[in-house]
Amino acid sequence: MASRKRGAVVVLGATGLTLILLDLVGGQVPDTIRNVGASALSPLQTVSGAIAAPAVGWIEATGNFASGEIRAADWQEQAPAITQVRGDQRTAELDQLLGLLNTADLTVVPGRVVAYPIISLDVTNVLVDTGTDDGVDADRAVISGQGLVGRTTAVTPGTAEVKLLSAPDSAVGGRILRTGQACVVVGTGDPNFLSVRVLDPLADVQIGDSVIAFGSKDGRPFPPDLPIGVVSAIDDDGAGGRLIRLEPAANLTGLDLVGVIVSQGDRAARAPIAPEPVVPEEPEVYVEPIPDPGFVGDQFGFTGAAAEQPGVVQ
Amino acid sequence: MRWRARTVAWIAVILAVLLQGAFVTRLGIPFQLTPVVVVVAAMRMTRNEAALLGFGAGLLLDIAPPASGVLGAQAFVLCLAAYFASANQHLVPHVWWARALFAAGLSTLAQALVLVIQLLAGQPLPLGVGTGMSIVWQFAIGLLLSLALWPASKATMGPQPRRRMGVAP
Repeated sequence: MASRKRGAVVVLGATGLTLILLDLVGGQVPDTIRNVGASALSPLQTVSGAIAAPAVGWIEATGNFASGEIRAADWQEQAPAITQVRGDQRTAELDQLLGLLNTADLTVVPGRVVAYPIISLDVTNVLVDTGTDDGVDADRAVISGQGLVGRTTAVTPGTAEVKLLSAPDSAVGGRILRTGQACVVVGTGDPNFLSVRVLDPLADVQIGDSVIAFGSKDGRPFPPDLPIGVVSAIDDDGAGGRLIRLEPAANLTGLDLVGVIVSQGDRAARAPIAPEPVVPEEPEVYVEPIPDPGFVGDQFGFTGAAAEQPGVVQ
Repeated sequence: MRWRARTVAWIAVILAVLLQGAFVTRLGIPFQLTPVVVVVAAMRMTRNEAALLGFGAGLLLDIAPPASGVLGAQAFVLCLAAYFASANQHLVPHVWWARALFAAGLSTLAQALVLVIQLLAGQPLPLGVGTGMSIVWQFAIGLLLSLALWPASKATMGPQPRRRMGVAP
């Protein structure tokens, strides 16, 4: 009797352990299971994300004020007009996004974040409601109006998974705007700060320095010059080096409207650049002037009109 | 009645999974909604039903995009947690606060076990204040949620299954 009662939990537990081992070993089986799950659950998540968005937006909007009185008053004012609040916020986000696009000459597919990670303590990736049906594929940069957010990884017909800059296994080439120093921006798992590794350990880095994307080959996944963040702290790492913290330009925990970069502006054809040919200069040749008879007077110090008359000696 | 109870439990679990990704996590609160729902529901089910519900809920959490954990970890842990809740519910006094403490504590333990599995699997885990606070959050909000869910659980799922004590001669 007891064995029958425990039969289900033994079988299911063994199945769970098998899945864990399969995931650790790697291979196609775990990926296939995840892909099937993503295809089946993505539509449900898209709908639930859209339903929950006004409530999330309302809470986020009213939580941004320091004063409790202002917040309470704002709750009362905003409660009946949640849609209006979110509409205004989305308009502002869209304006910022369009500004960034115009500056960098990028083409993006707009999308909305519909889900954050469910079981992870870290904010490592999000789900957006654009997929292969919209022309989005893997390894594309994702931006918000403030700057770089991450890149697409797994893509289904209706959704795309985005690995955020804050993911611990995320690394993006960067450049410190003020000095041009190359660096690598690494995720920490914490969405509020990233870590910067400067290639030159003695490079001049200051708090407040902006870091922009270095740019990948052919702009994929990361086009150059997109804002990544601002250096917020420089600490001693305990090993004689520096621990440089970067505050992300984009608010990684409050993402809503984002754009997946599908192409960068037409790149001009590149011609090889070679140094200009050196033309040898002609050597200067000194030609001794032929003595003029009229200069005789000059040689003897005569001046005046008489001296200008050849053959006249005063 | 049994079918209604099962249907309600599964709908609650699926809603919890969807709400987790669409709402709870977006607010930046490190809290797992589904384990609490599973444990509360499991206390009014037979052991096998509870194990199946826990496994199904965990598998949904494992594969729901954006999936970032170890595949099977939540399924394994929630299966055990739900089975344990069902098997030992008779040991918990029939008072609201004791039931809520049991549900919150068990769901917190389950999440701690998931963290251990992730750590053993070599996944990067931010061990520190953040992890500790997430466990505190899990217990505190789990306690409130268990209290809120308990009346609904009693109303929809009826009396809890009695433990068979044997037949008197």
